[in-house]
Amino acid sequence: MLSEFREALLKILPALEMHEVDFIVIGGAAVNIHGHPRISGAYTEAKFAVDLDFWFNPTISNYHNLLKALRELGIDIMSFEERVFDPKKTFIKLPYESFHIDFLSQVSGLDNYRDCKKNCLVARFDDHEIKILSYDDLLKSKMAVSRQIDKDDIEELKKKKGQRKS
Amino acid sequence: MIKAILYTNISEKKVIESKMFSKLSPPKRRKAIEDWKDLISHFVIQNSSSKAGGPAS
Repeated sequence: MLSEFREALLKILPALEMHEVDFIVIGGAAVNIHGHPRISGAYTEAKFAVDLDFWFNPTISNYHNLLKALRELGIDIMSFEERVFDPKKTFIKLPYESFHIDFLSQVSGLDNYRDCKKNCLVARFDDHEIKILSYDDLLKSKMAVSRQIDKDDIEELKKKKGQRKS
Repeated sequence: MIKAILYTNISEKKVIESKMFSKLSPPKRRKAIEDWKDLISHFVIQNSSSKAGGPAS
């Protein structure tokens, strides 16, 4: 049986592809894929969160493609459909009951979406190809944010990379 | 129907998450964690460039 989270992503990915939404997987999922298994943002009981973060190419056309995809999925976007897109400020959250899917227009420590996209890992999720923020860019972003969870991630990711080299 | 939330400050993200996830019961939290692990297990690396850390083992 599909988990609710996987089922949601398997519905979302075809719509993103159909509307040519340009995005990269970042955050906790990227950390896991690069070899440090941890639960999204759930680093303390008080700060429990399970979310999947996407960084979308912050162009107006890509933003509108994203809105089209969300509309096709039957997601209610009425409240902000007419609001002006600001590439430095506009974020979208899809709040499912026990997890969230976020589309972010910017990532701390990373200035150029296109450069980061060139560096990406390519992964498959079922039948879908999906880009994952590279190890180096992930570390750059983690260093810029520098919360305790980010410092822990940096340490663990470096350890993993060291283990793979030896 | 899922109602998307648009926010304009990254700090709002944490506030919204904190409010919403704090309402989850412990069994639902456990299920969310299991669902997360299941989700991650379905990502399969296709390439591993020199800049990347390599696939998860």
